[in-house]
Formats: sequence, structure tokens, C-alpha cells
Amino acid sequence: MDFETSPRRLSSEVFNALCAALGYLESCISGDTPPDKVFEVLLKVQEQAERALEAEMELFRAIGADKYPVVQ
Amino acid sequence: MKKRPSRKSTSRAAKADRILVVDDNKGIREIVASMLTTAGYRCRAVPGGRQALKLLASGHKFDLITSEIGNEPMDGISLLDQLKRKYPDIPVLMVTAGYGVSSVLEAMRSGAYGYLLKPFEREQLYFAVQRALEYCRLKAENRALRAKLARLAGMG
Repeated sequence: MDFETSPRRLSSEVFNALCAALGYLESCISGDTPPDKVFEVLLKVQEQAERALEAEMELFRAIGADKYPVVQ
Repeated sequence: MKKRPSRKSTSRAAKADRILVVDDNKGIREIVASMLTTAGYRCRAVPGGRQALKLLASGHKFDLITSEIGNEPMDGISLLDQLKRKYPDIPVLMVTAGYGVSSVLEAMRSGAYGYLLKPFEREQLYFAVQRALEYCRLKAENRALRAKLARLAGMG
């Protein structure tokens, strides 16, 4: 397993993407982002949220969780 | 980076302090730099330790450096070691995920001034930065006063 797909790296990716999304949202809510730039910043929130989802799915595969059936 | 209740306590006083933000995550880098710029600091942001060392080597001056511990390819601790060797007077604040407490201890042992656990609130960032800068100012002042005292003692 190379570094890029290691669970540690992926977990950190998920965490950082969520932190970044929160940070961008905060800059809109607090008024730091000028009104005409809010849409641009919201697109960054979307980008980070998508990155978090993507990394979470990669993490799921990396730990082999997709290989086992869920036992009810 | 959580929502804060009020921005009244945010110091917007003009500051000339220069801060270098080192983080391999573009979003985090951008947000931290933007928060610091909003507070009046002069900020530069780079993705890694190599770029940070290159900037310093080319003569750029910084009063404080913040660095993510888990950066790649050069991790924050390696960068800290090099900074402490080459630029011992610049305080370094380490940033890491809330679950990375063990790496914080290593960073503190290696000479980091302090640390921030992500996700952090804006006020936590400002507080940590202000404290680190104040500590450095006091240290420099102390050094100058000691030198002056030594000169005066030498005259007598």
C-alpha cells in the first residue's frame, strides 16, 4: 500500500477537507467574505465536501471494508 | 474554524507582523492565511517545508511560522528541526488534527512554541499567534536589556 492510499493519509484527507469546509462556511457567516464573493466561497465549500466524500470512499476501500458482506 | 459567537473580541489592530503559513492542504492554508490577514497580519502561505525554507533562505523575514505536523513530503517536525537550527528566533506554532496529540508532544520537545488542534476557532488562532509574538518580543527585549546592562557594567 503506497502512502497516497494509506488509511492514515486518507483519514487525514477527510478530516482536513471537513475542517476546510467549516472554515470557508465560517468566513461567509462571519461576514469576512464580501457579499459578491460568497458564491465563490460556497463553491469551495462544495469542493471540500466532495473531496471529503471521495477520500472517505477511498478510505473505505483501503481498509477493505467493501470486501465483506454486512452481517445483519 | 467553528462558528464563533461574536467578532467583538477579534483584535483588528494594525499589525506589521509577518506570518508564514505552511500547510499541504490548500483549503486549510487559504483559510488560516485569510483569517490572519483579516486580523491585520502580513501573511504568506506555502504548501510545504521545502518552499518555506526556500523563502527564508532567499531573505524573506517572518516573525512567526505556523506549520501542519502531518505535511508531506517534509513533515512538520522535520521542518521544525531545521527551523530551530537555522532560525532559532522565529517561533513556530504547530497545527494538527485533534486526534494527533502524541505528535504535539514530540513537536513541543523539538522546540515548538505552541500548538493548535484542528478544527480550531478563529479566536484560538489569534490568541496563540498573539502569545507567540509577544513571547518573542519580550525575549528580544530581554536580550537587548541584558546587553545594555553588560555594557553599563563594563563602563563602571
